[in-house]
Order: sequence, then structure tokens, then C-alpha cells
Amino acid sequence: MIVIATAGDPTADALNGYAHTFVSTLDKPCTIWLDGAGATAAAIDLALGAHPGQPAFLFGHGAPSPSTGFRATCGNLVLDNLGITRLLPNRVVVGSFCDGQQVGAQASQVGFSMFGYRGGLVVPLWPQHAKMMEAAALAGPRHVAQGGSVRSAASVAARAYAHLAYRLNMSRSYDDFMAALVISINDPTYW
Amino acid sequence: MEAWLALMPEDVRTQPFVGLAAGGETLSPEDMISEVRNGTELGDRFLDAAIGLMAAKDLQQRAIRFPQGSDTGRFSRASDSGRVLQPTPRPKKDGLLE
Repeated sequence: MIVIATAGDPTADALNGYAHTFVSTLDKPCTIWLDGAGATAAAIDLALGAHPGQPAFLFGHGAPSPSTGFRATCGNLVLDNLGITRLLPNRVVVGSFCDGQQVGAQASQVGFSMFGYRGGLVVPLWPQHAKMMEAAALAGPRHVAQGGSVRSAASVAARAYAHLAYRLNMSRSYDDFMAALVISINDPTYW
Repeated sequence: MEAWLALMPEDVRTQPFVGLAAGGETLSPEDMISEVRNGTELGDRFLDAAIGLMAAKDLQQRAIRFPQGSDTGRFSRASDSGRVLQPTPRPKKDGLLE
């Protein structure tokens, strides 16, 4: 299992925190754990290239259309069209980043499966809400790490987001309502 | 959403509130409301979610009351527009109605 989490801005840092929780709660240690400054484009390319077929869990920034890919901490894109063809065949990919459809659209043609997000992955940045979203954000990755399919992971994640949004929506606080709103627009899916 | 913005201290309105996992973009509460006002794709998704959540909240808070039917012998349902359902009279053993 390969886990990659970038860092360097509030959103990536929040997702990086989720990745730390994910890694610390895995049943068995991951093969490669690229974290923060270590998650450069070269390091990601090397890790994926050296371990074909291993599930890859990525936390950070995607690339909106018309681009395709995952942005490394150094700022360079990996998993562009060439990278997808070279690095992703016969692999399960879990993409906790925006615009997963840009990568996932090639899944059937290249031969990989992917859990990810259609459109934006929106992370609340106020600390109490960022922490609250962690369980929902990790529901899909944990399901795949435990051997579940990307299809059922999408379903599990959607329910986790819905339950969290429901709970926040019952609060009398406007801030909680807005957090519920933010969280409920996340659209986990699979390819 | 406008009410939420109005209640917020001035300095908090412009602080990052959410982040998008694409390029590190962050949105303050004011930015988010602007997205909605301007009808961007993200703004529309926020608005759709807001409508759904507000409807769910409204449903939960709406009074759907069942009067003390067992005490009064009268039952009503909110969906019946005020129509009152009477319990069916049961015959006594001697054939007279209760």
C-alpha cells in the first residue's frame, strides 16, 4: 500500500492531517508513505513506478479540467495523461483530491479502478469542522484499505458525509449549518 | 446564508472558511456567498445543498402534532388539513352504542 499526502497550504495541510490519521490506524504498515515535503513529483513517480499493482492512496490537490493529474508538494503535476498510462494499470487508486473525474475517466481504458470525487473536494477549514469531517473523508479510503471495492467505498463515503451533514444541520448554530452545507456538496464516486 | 454573513464579525467574514482540493484555493464566507450570487458551478452546488438542508431542517422542526387522542377520543393529522377523525363507536354488550 502506498500513501501519499502533500502539504503547503491550508487545504492540503488539512487533508495531510487526515492522511496521518489514516496511516496511524491501518491494520498493517504501508509500503511507502510520502508525507509533506517528501511528496515531490519525482518521489511519487518513483514510488508508483517501483511498486506496480499496489493500491495507492493520494491526499492533496487535483487538477481541474482541462488539466489532468495530482499536484505534488513541489507544485508539479503527476498522473497526467502519460503518467496515468505508465503508472496506474492494474492498480486501485483512492484519490482524496478535487476533480477525480479527470483521472478516473481513463480507468476502464487504462485498466485501473478508482475511488474519488467528482468536482470539488471541499474541506472546512475552521478547526472544529475540519476535525469533524475527518471520519467522513476517511470512510472511503478505509473501506478500500480493508479490501472493499471502490464501488462500495463510494457508497460508504456518501453515507458518512450525509450523516455528518445531517448531524450538523440539526444544530442551532449558523456556523454548523454552513459546515453541513460545505460537507454535503462533496460527491464521492468511483470509476 | 445572507443572515449568517450579517451575524458574523467583520474580520471573520474575509477569513478562509473552506478549501478546495484543487490548487489550494480557499474561500471566505464572503467569497462563498459571492459564488452563490454569481451563479458559478460551485455556487449553484452550495445553493442546492442549502435548499436541501433547509428543507430537511424545516421538516424536522415543523409541528406534526397528534392531540391526546386517547383522552379526547379525537384524532387529527397535519396532512388531513384539519379533518378530524372520530374513533369508531364500539357496541356495548347490550347492543347500545358507547
